[in-house]
Amino acid sequence: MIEIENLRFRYPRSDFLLHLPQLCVAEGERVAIVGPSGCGKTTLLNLISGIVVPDSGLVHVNGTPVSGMSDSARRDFRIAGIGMVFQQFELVEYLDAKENILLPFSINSTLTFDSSVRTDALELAQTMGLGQKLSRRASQLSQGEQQRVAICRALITKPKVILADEPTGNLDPRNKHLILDLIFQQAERNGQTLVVVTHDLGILPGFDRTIDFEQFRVETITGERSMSTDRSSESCQ
Amino acid sequence: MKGIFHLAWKYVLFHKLKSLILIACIVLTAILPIAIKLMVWQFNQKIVARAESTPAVIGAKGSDLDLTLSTLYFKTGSVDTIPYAEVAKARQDNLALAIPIHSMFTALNHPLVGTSLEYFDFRGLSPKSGVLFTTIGDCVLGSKVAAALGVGPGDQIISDRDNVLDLAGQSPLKLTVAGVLNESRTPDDWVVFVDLKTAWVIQGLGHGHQDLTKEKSDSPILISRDDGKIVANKGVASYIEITPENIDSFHFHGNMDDFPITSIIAVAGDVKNETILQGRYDSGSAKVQFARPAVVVRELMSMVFRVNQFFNANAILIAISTALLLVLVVLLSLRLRKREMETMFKLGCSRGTIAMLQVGEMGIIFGVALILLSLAVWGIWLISGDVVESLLVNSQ
Repeated sequence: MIEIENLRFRYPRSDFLLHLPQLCVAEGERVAIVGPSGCGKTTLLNLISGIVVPDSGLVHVNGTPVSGMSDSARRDFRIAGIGMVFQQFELVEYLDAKENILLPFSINSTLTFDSSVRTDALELAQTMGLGQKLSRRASQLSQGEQQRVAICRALITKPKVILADEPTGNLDPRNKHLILDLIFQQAERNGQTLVVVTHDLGILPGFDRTIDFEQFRVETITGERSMSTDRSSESCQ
Repeated sequence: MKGIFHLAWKYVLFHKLKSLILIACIVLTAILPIAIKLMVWQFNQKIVARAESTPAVIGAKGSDLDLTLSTLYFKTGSVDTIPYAEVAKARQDNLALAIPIHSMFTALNHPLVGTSLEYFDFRGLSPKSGVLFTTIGDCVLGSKVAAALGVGPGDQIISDRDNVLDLAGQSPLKLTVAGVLNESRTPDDWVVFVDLKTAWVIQGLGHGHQDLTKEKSDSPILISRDDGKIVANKGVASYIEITPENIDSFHFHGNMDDFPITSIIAVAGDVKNETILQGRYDSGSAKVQFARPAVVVRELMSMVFRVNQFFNANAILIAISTALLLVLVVLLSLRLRKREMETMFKLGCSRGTIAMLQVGEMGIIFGVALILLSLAVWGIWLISGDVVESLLVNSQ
């Protein structure tokens, strides 16, 4: 479950200010966030994952107060509790697919790497149709395959929340639906909460709920955007 | 840490060319000053050891450095000669053991040194195979010469002409290898030793030729025959090899005391004798000088070390420029890898771990460079002694 209360965030040396009175995403819910560029969709994902911290307000993920954590605690929380998928896949070019999937275990010592993780990785890759391509580098994979590797990387730590920033933005229509189906299947199978930022309105029917940043009332103070209280102040169930 | 090191290793392997260039930069920057240091150190060790094992040298007046190097390293043509009579003079009153050195020719491009058997005792040289020379025409090879020429006792080598264009000049002489010396890791390993008389034969001061007494009076090579005195022209066949059959025909023209040698190694019994001996040559009018190799070489080395300081300063500047180059490469690499680093950070990697990744990559590059450098230094170390000796002996 994701709970946000009275959140205010501003990037340094920027007029942009995100003000979010309240937002709640229930556990296992599939939420799409849409809106024009620059309205703060990616910033919201960064706030939920603890990459940035709000100037004020609260961000709770599965009961954990992300906004109140230290830097290192937020990193540990992020790598264990959040699975992140990016538009550009962001695979490491010098690693093969298997090493990319296992990347979280290489870069954070709080995660324990053992044979079961390796087995999980192989099973996950198999499920994603990557079984024969694990030894290939990112450049040797198609875009759809690269995004599948990125999804495996997001899922390998068994996070409770998956945050995807335009995961289909770089994919052709066939791959777009294939990838979305895979994300939905995995999220459903593991009971994971899914928050996807997208510009693609065609994929919205697959989500439980869509939050449209554009439809919310925007406060006009120095470019400040704010989600209106009538739509976003719904109480968490 | 293991995971980060794995990533660093994979990065270095993936960017092979970049890594190899960086490794080459480090190795090449470091190898030159290290090689120079090693060479200078070896040079110092070798030359000082050789000098200190040679108490005094006597030779023609002139540069005491030339005299010392000529005597220790058998350089040809660098000093004037002195008459053989100086050997007897040095031995006078039993002040010193005097060992003549005749270093004017080469055999198959190796220094050919005429001396007496005392030289081998003095240097502690003994034959590994065969024997020391027992008669004129024999030679004893240093171990490196024997290995380089692939010859041993019983084989023959030939002395070089001092001037290939002068057909009327000194003729080459076939020398029979009597023995090969044990390796001494000194310049003696690179030398062909002969008896002093053999050196004089090569110089043309002695020779052997066909028996003219058996020639008929109308022989075209005879100019005159009068009361046992036979005068012949240049058609007389001179021997180019000394054999048991012709050795008796070999003879010298002139007084041996006047025959040339290049220097004398003087081994005085004690300091007092050495001082007295030195006093004999300190007169300003003397045509012969007395030098202590240890003193001469110390002066030489102090000059070498002064020059070496310039190399050191140069090496430091090169090292600084290479370090700056490496920093530039790392900074550019960081810029190129900004997204990769950002992704790692977003996934949950700390900035410190990302820095460790960079350090790990540079560590691997430096580690590989260090291994290669160590191997190169080891290789240089192995050959440096021989190279220095070879340079000292063969830089004629």
